[in-house]
Amino acid sequence: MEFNRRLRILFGLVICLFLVIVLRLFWVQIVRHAFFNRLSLDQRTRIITLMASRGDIVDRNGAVLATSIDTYSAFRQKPRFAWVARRLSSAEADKLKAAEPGNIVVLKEKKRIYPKGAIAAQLLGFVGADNQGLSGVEQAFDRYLKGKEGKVVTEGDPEGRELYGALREIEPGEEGMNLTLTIDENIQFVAEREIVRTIREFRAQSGMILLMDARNGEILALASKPDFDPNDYKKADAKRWHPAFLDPYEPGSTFKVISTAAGLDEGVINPDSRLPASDRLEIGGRVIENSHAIKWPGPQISLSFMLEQSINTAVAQIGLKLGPERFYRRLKKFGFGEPTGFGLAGESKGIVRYWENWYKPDPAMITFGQSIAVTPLQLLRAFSAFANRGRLVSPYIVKRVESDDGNFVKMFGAGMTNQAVSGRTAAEINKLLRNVVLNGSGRRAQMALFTTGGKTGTAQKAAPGGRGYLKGHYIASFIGLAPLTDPRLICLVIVDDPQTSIWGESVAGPSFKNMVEYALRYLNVKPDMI
Amino acid sequence: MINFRMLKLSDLFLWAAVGALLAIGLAAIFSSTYQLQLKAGGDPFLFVTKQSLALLLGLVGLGLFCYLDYQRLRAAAPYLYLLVIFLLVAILFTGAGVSGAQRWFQLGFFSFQPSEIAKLVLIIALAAFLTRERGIRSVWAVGLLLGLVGLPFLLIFKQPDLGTALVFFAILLGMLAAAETAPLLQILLITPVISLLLRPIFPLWLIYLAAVALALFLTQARWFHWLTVLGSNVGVGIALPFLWGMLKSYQRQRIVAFLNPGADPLGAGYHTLQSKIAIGGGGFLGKGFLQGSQTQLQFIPEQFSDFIFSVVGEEFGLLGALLVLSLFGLIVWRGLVIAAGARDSFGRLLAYGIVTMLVFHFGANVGMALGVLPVVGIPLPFLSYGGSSLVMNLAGLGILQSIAMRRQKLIF
Repeated sequence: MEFNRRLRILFGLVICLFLVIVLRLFWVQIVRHAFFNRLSLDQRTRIITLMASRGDIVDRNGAVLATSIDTYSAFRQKPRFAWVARRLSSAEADKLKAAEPGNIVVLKEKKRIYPKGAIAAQLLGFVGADNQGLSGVEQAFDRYLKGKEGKVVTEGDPEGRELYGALREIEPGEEGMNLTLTIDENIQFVAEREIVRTIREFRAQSGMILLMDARNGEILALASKPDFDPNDYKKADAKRWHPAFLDPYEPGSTFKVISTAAGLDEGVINPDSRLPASDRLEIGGRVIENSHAIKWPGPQISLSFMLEQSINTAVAQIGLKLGPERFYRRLKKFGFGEPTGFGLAGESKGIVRYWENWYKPDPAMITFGQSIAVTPLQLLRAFSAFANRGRLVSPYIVKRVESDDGNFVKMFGAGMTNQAVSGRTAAEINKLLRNVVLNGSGRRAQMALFTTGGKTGTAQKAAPGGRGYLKGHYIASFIGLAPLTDPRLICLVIVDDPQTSIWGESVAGPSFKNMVEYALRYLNVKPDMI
Repeated sequence: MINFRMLKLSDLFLWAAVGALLAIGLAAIFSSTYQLQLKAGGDPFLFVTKQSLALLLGLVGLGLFCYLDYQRLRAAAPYLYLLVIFLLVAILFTGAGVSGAQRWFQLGFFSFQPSEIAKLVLIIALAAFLTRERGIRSVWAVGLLLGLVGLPFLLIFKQPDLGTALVFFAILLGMLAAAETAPLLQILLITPVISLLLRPIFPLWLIYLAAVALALFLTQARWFHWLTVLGSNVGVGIALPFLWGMLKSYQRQRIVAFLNPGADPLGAGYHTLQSKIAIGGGGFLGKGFLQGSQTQLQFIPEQFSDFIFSVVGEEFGLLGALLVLSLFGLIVWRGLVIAAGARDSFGRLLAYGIVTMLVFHFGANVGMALGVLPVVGIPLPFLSYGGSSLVMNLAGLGILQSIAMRRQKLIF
């Protein structure tokens, strides 16, 4: 029958249609199943990461310098996930929640707090909005401090509403570890007060005081001003965030001590050597003069007189006697050109050119701290040799890392302990440093109950980025040890661009004295002044 | 008139297949609505209850059409047709708007969609017309036929309801194929569809017209074939830009989105993508009843109506989808068997029209859910939420069974 023939054709067409549908079903549901399942999962789940409780940073005695507190963050579910406000008080969060009931969800989140405000700010650094250390110890020890983030996974419909009501936390996260610094909060406080006072008094740009335990390298105070309040770091000029003690500077006359020690240890001079007196020296087209007029006691002077009066033309003779190669190797022994590894990221290694690249005047210039750049920490380390019979002690800032439950503890100690000079040379240098304080430019550093030795520095500021020096701009500094009979502390004071006086002696000397005297008393060190 | 012996002649497979689809449909409607209702603080069974009420009404209609000799429909066809035209005109002025479309009559506690009734009435009218004309053999008949279909088509197109309007076109094509019409007439009615597709590329369309003319020449067509075939092709070509202009912007967007679904995943292509994600996520066994995340989280708005197949695909997997497919296959097979065995050509055309309608609904709906066809609002028969559609489909089932039961001269 005609109709049935047509019917068969049409039924065939229907079968074809069904076959297409079956193939399509097979394609979508079997072949592409994993793909569509993934899409379905992705569009309904939302992972909200919760900041871990960041570990505390405490001083050597357990005083809390940085900690984390509970705050409340609110997010909106509709029309799509969005933070409304983060790190609020519980009352503020409740108010937000009440404004849009059912749509606002409040989560607990940690917030970084520095309870002591701006103390040791450049050293401590600060933390960004997502719990990442951005500067200072917070950055360098981030992997210990930050802990593990918690994760909250929520399931929501296209409008962001939750499916099964409550939030489901799948990873609780781990608390960060606590850090114990070598810093002593009290000494740090005094150091900061002292450097702020000095900066104000001399209308300087900036300044720092570094105080190190000479025996083991523990940094007791690391004050650098002006700084910022890490609780509100965005308010401050970003330049103040940077830890200034990481950067190199030309050490100036304080470096004469290193040159003298190098000369003594290499045997090019001895404690009784006499150096020619001259007001002017010309080497390789470069004229070396003294910063002030010297009253020469005779045609030749002692090493002690050279250091007491800080005479460039005399110390330059030692450098010329050493020659570039020996001088360079000795500088390396003192650790110059190598970062101290004291604990912060971004530490400069200073600028010590390889001896073959030295210009002709360099052996002379470097003796009084020009043509070379060192970091304050390198200078501290170098001076530690004089406190430890010629052996270097590397400074460090973090004593201990430990988890809250005490299951993980990591201790830190002094790093490199290189023999820079012989014990005899070290003893000789201490005598010379004592003389500088007793008779020379270091008189302002004298203390009533403790013997101390040190050296001033008045360096012209190197022009940024280029050659030459900035006229009328100086860096005044003082570095010294105390008590000299059994050195316990090394302290370096650096004042950048003081206006009312430029001299290390008058600018940095008193600061050094106040700082070290306080610290020695505070640490119950036995007076040795007889 | 109806008695147990007649009921025994009814098609058991058809009863079983429709029953199973109805059960699956209610389960899928519950799954896709109870969360929504709970969230809104309403009765989680609201949609299922409303659908069940429509089902009861539909069963009454089903019984009525079983009881009624389908031959009576032939006589009633002109009146039914006029009634539907009246309703369609009336709704343009009084109907309740749903998203910019006037499709509903609000009657107290329930609303109904005359366009659904129009589908069935058109089948009845076409069956009656084609039986009377014994195929289309004159220009006059062609004109009458086009008018018969064209009038409700335009009225529904104006609502606007593109999906239902397309159903009319499909019913016409299907029934012409089954009717004892000249083969050339079928060509006539298919060529304008191709014209519709080629018209946007104008030179191609001109070449196509030339090819059609050549075919007419080679087959030594009579003058009225020349007139109707070329006339309809040119007519479509001229009308297309106007029709495109008549489409609402959302309809145009949907067609464009179908042609390039990835272009705007959050816009017009959203439904297609979400439906594919739901079905694809279901895999072989499905995520389990009430466990489908796409369904439970309402990623597809109004999933319970036109996208009900994606609920089945997600929660019951490939197995569930194949079951639904098989049940529809069974219905089509039994429907065609009933058509073939019908006592007269009116019954045959009637049965065939109903099967065509079901196949088109099923193909268009599932094709849309699987992303192979554009998104047009065509419900899945017996599964989709919607009273008018359910009642109409059950009435269609009643007519099919009525034809089956009366395939022989009964001996009283």
